[in-house]
Amino acid sequence: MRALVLEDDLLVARGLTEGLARAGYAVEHASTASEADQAMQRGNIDVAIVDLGLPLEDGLTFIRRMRDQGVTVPMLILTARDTLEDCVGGLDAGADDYLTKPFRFPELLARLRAAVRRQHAETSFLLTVGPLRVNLRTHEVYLGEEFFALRPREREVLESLMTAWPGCAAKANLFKDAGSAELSPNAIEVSIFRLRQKLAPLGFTIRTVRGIGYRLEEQKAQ
Amino acid sequence: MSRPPAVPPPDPQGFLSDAAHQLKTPLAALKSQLELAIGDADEDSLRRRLADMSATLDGVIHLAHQLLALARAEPGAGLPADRQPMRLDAILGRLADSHLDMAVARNIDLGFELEAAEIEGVPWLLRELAVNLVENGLNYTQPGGRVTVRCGRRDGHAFIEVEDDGPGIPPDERSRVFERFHRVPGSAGDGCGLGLAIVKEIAARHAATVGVAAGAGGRGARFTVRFSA
Repeated sequence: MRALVLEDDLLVARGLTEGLARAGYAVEHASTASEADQAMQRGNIDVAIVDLGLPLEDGLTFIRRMRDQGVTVPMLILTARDTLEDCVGGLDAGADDYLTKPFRFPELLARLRAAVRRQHAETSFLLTVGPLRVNLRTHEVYLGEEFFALRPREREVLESLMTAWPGCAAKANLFKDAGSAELSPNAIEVSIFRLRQKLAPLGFTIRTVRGIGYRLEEQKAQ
Repeated sequence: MSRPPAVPPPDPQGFLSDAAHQLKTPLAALKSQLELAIGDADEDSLRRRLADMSATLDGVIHLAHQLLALARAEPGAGLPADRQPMRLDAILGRLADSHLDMAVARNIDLGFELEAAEIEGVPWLLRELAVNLVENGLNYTQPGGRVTVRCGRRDGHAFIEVEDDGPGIPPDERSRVFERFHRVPGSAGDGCGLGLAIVKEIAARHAATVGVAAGAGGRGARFTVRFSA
């Protein structure tokens, strides 16, 4: 995974570069929009992190220009400006997401993953959470490379949980998402119970969120 | 006829000096931690100092965020009147995604009882209000406790309610908790004393009232924001 960091503050850029490299990204750093242009033209960037306040051409203009040229690389704005107008302006210009400084690295990494995942989802219909993979077109679930056998209702629940991940899946949407008729709360509980038993050995839990629904969680290695 | 430009109000409650003081304390701590870290040859203790500094810095960042939120919630903040019809249950439901991790980390059961409630309001300000009430509950409730977020309509008024089963707020402190930088004496938690002032300011901008009482069975605290319609 190759990330472009467009940031003119060298201290911030160094922190980003080191942190991203530690998370397994190959990182290219650009201090100006024209340097970033060159990196984009080489065509091997998977995701870009763009600061707004740049010398010469600002980040918003850069993003708008890239989108006008048909560049579809996911772009995430990282900036100290955090008013609603700035945020809306950034998304309108074609950015995929918006994060304000100061930021937390785990959140930045999660948003980068989400931006890349969204782009892939549009083309491949594959949804991945850790070793779990679901094909949204064929509705087949895989664990690593192996086919993961589930009853139809369990599969529908898991698909909804994975679609909502890392957020919560609303109870009311658990089956609606997958297109089957509405089920009684009791039937949902039974499916959740069975799914919990099958997922536990794989290091996954399903948390009940009181009044909302459920959330798929990957047990962190201690 | 043109009016003379408005004179900026003085700082009657000493807000700016309070704010500056609140910033100076953690900055002084950071400075001394940093100086110790520079001279620290032992790797374990250096790591501990860095973790301390990171936690101190989190406090400064939180304070900066809260000061900005307060400035924007004030009347005359120059914001466009972007009031629009909106669903309180939709705004509050999203807190399940944004705040569940914080609740899980503190071993608190964060739950929701949301009923349809539509009002005219500024969505991002009301989200800020709700976030402050929920974080207040999560900060002051003991591990194993519960925080419940509610909304709906009661007696013809829309409402937002956040109830916890924490230590509660003594009756003689209840009117003061909404003052800027006021903290209940002897309370735990690591807030900066602005969260509830922000709640009050945002409620006022929506012509809503905010009050606090004891929760169910006389335990904990229940904050209620009641809208005029």
